[in-house]
Amino acid sequence: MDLIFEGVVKAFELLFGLDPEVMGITALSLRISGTATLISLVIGISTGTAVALAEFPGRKIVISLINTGMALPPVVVGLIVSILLWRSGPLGFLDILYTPTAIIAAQFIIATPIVTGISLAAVQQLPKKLRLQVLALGATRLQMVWILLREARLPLLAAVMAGFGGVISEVGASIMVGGNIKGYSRVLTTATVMETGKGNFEIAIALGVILLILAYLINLVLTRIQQYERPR
Amino acid sequence: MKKAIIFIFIIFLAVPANLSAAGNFILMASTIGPVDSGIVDVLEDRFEKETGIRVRHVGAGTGAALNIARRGNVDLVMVHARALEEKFVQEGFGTGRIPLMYNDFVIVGPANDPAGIKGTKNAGAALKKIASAGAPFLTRGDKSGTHVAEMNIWEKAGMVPSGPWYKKYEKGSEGNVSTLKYADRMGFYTFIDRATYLGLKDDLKLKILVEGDKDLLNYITLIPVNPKKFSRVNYDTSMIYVKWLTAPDKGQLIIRDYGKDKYGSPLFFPDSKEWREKVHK
Repeated sequence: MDLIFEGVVKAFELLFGLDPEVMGITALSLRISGTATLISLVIGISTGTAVALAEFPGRKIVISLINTGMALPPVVVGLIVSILLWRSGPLGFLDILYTPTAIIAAQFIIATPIVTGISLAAVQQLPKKLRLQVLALGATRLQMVWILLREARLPLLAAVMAGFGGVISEVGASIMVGGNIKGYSRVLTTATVMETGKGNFEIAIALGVILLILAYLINLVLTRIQQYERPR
Repeated sequence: MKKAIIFIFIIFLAVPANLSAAGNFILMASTIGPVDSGIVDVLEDRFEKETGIRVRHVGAGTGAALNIARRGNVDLVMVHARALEEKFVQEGFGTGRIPLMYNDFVIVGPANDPAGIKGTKNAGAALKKIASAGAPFLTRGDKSGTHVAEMNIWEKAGMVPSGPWYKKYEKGSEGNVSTLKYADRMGFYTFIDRATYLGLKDDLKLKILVEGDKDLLNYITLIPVNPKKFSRVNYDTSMIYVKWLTAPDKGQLIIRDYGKDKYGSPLFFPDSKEWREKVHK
C-alpha cells in the first residue's frame, strides 16, 4: 500500500516538477495515440457508416468480422506488423520498424475496428424512417449521410473515446514495433513495463498514474461535449 | 458539434511535424547490462555531439539481439556470448567480432552464505558447492549473454544443474537488474555482472561471494551486420561509430572512466585492439 502511495506522490512530483524526460514521454504518447485515433476515425466512421447503410450479400459476415476485430489482441497486431516491417520483410523498404510511425500504424490497426464497430452500431440504431424522410425532402445521398452522422454524434463520440482509450493504454504492440527507444519511441506504457522490469516500482506506478490522469482528462472533455449536446 | 470539431482540431495540433518516417540514424541492438548501467547512452550522446550522427538502441539479451539482427533490423549489435557471436558471424550475418570492453561476472548470495562458497577461488567449484548444498540459485535462463556465461561455468564444472534449488527466473529476459533484484528479494544465490551489482549495491542485501576467476571475465563485443546480407543496412555509418568506439582517445577513454565518480571503481574496462596496442607500446 505504501508503495502505491509513494508512486502517486512521485507522479505529482514528476508532473509538477515538469521532469523533461517524463514530459517528453507523455507528449509522445499523446501524439502517437492521437494520430492513430484520428486516422482510425476517418477510416472507421466511413466504413462503419457504409456497412450500416448498405445492403449486400455477406453483410452479416462482415459485421461479425468487424466485431471480432474489436477484440484484436495488441500483441498479435504487434507481431504481424513487426514481421511486415522487418527489413527482410515485405514492407521492409519503408524502413520504419522501431520508429514512432510504426507504433502509429499498429495502433491504427487496433483502433480502426473499434471505431468501425461502434460507428456501425450508432448509425444502425437510427430509425430507418429518418433516412427515408431525409431523402424524400430532397437531400442528396451525401447530405443524407451527413445528417445521419449528426444524429448519431453522441454514440460516435463514444467511438472516439473507446478507440483512443484502446490505443493509449496498449503496450504489447508499441514495445514490439517501437522498440522502446529512449527519447524516440518510448511511450508511457512501454516505460512503465521497463521500470517495472528494473524493479523501479515507484516510477512505474508514477507513470501509470500519469497515464490514468491523461485518459481521465481526455474522456472528461469528450464526455462534457457528449453530455452538453444530449438531446432534450 | 462545434466543440467536437474543436477537439479534433486540438488532436491535430498534437500531431507533431517531425514524426520522421525513415529512421535516419544508426540502429543498434544492445545487450541489456550496458544499457542499464547507462554507458550506452553516454557513448551515444558523446558520439552525436562530436559527429552529429544519432545512434539509437533497442535493449535485448544477447540471444534476442542477435535474432533481431538476423532479420536485418539493426545495423550493429553489442553482445557478450562468444559462441553465439561466432555462430552469427559464421552464418554470414555479421562482418566480424570487434572487441570493445569487458567487465566481470560475480557470484552473489545471502550474507550468511548457506552453501559456504565465500572466498572460493574457482567459480565452477563454488557453483558445485551451491548445488550439493541444494541452496536456491536463480538463473536468467533466457540464452542471454549472462545465462550463456553461467552455463559455461556449469559445463566446466562438469555438471548440468537441475532440481528444485535451481530456479529459472520467468522474467529473466527483462535483464540482469530485474533478475538481481528478484534474487535479492528472495535471498537466492545468482550469477550476475559486476556493473549491474555495483549499480544497485546500496539497495541490496546480497553480497559478492566469489570473484576474480579468469572464467568470470565478461567480454562485450561489437558486430556490424553484414550489408551483403541486407542491402538496407547502414554499414558505412555504423563503421564510423565502431571506429569511434574503439579509438583509444575517444570511446575507449570514456569507457575507462565511466562510473568511477559514482561507484568508486570503473564498471567496464576498455579492450579494443587499438587500445591494447596503445597500452602495450
